[in-house]
Amino acid sequence: MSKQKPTRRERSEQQTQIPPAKPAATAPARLPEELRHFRFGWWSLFVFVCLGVLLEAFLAFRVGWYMDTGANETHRLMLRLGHAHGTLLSLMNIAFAAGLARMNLDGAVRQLVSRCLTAATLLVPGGFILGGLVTHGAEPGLGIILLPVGALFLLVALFKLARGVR
Amino acid sequence: MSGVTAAIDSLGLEIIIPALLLLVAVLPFLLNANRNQALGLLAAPFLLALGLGYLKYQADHTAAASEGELLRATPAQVRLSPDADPGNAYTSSQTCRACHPGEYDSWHKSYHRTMTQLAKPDAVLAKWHGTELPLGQARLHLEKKGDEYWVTTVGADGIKQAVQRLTMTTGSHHLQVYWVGDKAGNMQHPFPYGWLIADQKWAPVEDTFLRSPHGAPVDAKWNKVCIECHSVAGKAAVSMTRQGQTARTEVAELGISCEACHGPAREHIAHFQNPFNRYTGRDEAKAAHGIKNPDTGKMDHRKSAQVCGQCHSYQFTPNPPKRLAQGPSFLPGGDLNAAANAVAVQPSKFTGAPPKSQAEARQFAASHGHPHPGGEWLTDRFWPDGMVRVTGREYNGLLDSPCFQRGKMSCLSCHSMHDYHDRNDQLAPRMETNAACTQCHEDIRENLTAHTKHAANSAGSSCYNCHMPHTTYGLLSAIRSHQIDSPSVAAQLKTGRVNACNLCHINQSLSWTNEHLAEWYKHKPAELNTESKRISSVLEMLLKGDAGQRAIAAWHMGWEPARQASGGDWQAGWLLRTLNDPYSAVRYIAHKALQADPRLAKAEFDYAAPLAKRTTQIQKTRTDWEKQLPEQTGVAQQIELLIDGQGKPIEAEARRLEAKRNNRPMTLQE
Repeated sequence: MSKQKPTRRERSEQQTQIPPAKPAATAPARLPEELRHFRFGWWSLFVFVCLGVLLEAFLAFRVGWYMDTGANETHRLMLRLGHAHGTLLSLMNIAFAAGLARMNLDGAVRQLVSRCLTAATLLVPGGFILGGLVTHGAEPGLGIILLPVGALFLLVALFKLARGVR
Repeated sequence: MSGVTAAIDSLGLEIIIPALLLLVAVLPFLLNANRNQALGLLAAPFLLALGLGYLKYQADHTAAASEGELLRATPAQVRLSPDADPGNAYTSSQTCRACHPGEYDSWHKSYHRTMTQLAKPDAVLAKWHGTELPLGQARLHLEKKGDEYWVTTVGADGIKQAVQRLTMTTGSHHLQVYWVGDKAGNMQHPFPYGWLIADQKWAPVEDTFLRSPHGAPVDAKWNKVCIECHSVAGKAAVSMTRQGQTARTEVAELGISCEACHGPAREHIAHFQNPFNRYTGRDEAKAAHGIKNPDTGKMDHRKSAQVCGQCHSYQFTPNPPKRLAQGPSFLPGGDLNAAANAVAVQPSKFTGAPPKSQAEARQFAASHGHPHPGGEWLTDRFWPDGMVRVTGREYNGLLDSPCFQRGKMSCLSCHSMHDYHDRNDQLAPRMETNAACTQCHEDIRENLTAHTKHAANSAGSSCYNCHMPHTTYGLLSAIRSHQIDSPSVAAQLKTGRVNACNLCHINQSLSWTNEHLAEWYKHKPAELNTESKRISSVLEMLLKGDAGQRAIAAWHMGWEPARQASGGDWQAGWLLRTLNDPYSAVRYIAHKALQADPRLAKAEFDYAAPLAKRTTQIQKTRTDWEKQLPEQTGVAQQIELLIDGQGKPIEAEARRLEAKRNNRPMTLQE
């Protein structure tokens, strides 16, 4: 009894057949901070880009409130710094979320860094913007007090992150 | 947006919003904190924020109250708000800055901007705090409290008579004078002393002008005198009340800013706020929408010069009360004489005596467009041929210049408001050289020495020195005339204005000049009297001239090109004598000229001090000078300089000429 050889077509079909699926591996559990920072980062990026577009519009239409800076530039400078820092910190939130799984941070460190980064994203640009909305001569408004507090949170976050990455 | 800003500012939201934001930021930290940690987290940043906020708020409110008080006492920026005056088309330099930062910057560095300023630390140049100045029997005690400048008048009995806050300053280049605001309105009264910036010294305001020593004290109000040229679109609005004169003065902006030369800009700004209009308005004709550009490439040279002439000229005002109430109506691009409720005078057309009858007066007004301003008015401000003799009135000189009349010369042919290399004169690049003239007179550029008869790089080959000599007076100095003219002995004999040759060759007589002008330029020699033939022309003017002539003569004795051309070792004796001149301005100039002599560079002299102190200082300087004189060696005296062989003035000659001095009381006030 001769064994019949498979035809070329049969061989081709055998080769293209999808191998039977292996049993599905369990996906790593998503860290709660990851989703939170993705959401927070994208939303804050949206807000600060909107602010940038608004400042651009002020520039394009030569809006006096923004353009007629008086004898000092504090007013415009503060708003521009608020926009720039807000945008950068938003991107930092997204980068933090994207890299969180690979950083192997200790749970407590991760939580602290997350909170500090969130606080910094609120306070640093918030300080600049509030300091620019109202100015006192060449001095920014009282809102600028938030800036050093926010900067402190940011420093803590970066320090803990740098130390905690494994 | 400004509403949002105001709300934040006024409702205390400036503190509440940051506090709320801080709360939101720390909330996540509270989730797994114990009670004490939570309290600490909440309290620490809040306490810090509130503490700092309170301190800053207090400081801001103090500063704001001080600033508000200052603004209320001055005419500063009253008209800037279109809400207060819908007809106001002025906007202020700040709005120009947004689109024209380069032009704003060049203007901001200029002395035009700082002509009038609020009395704040960045404006006040004088050494103020702790200074004591005499005022008759009383004394003025000056104090700086924070950013405020105060003056207390203390009587001879030690009792405080008045405490006033300094409100405004005028000038920032050579001289700064100060104003004290009126509580009833915003009338600005003069502070009795001015600050000489180069000397870093105080001087009574009377002594900062060339004024008769017997004249009345200066009591000019800023609102009535200075407002027209030292602010933009000023309306004096001075009225009489039971308390005296009060003012509700309004200006578009203090100092001379963008809209003084370019006109009111509200329409221009509204138009170009639209980006589409900016794109389509790139070509120059459209770019000037709503404003004027005095550049001679874009405006007739006569109208361009009038933009500067609105301030840099003597104008005759037919109806002063109307002008005081409404302000000058001239706008850049318009006709100065037709619009300004005043006429820029050209006395070369009417140098004769004032009309003697009503009919003559009517005839004069009909032919000149204004009444005769009066003999004294003319003689104090103009040389007898109509050339202006006070600085700051360059447009009057330009009107009589052939380059303006027959050519296309305007102020901006040499000066530039935005492209200057030195803010002293705001000359355009290379315009400090002969290029200023040879840009039109190309033939002279090619044959310079053939025309000047002097070495190419010498002071004698400078167009300015011969055609714009220092024959106007102002700011305790001699300043270049802005009437383009040529040296003429005949003109000097007619007017008393020393010709350019003798202002450099200060050791030469008019007969020497007569010979050279006849030989070089075929002038017809003028008839000279014995003194003019024999004595240095400048020296003759120093001894016989009026106060203005003496000031100019003394100034040239210290002018370096003149000292190089004429020797620098013979002037000191004459200048020492001039330190006794009755006019303080002449004494000041003589002292500066004396210091040009290296032997007396450190000579001290307080030109405005009482006579006794001045006499002592002069005596000391004279002694120092005489110690350095050579021994009598039999050197022949120099007769044209009236000095003996040792270099001392021949007193008999000096007294003889001084007896012929023109002692007419005069005022040359820029």
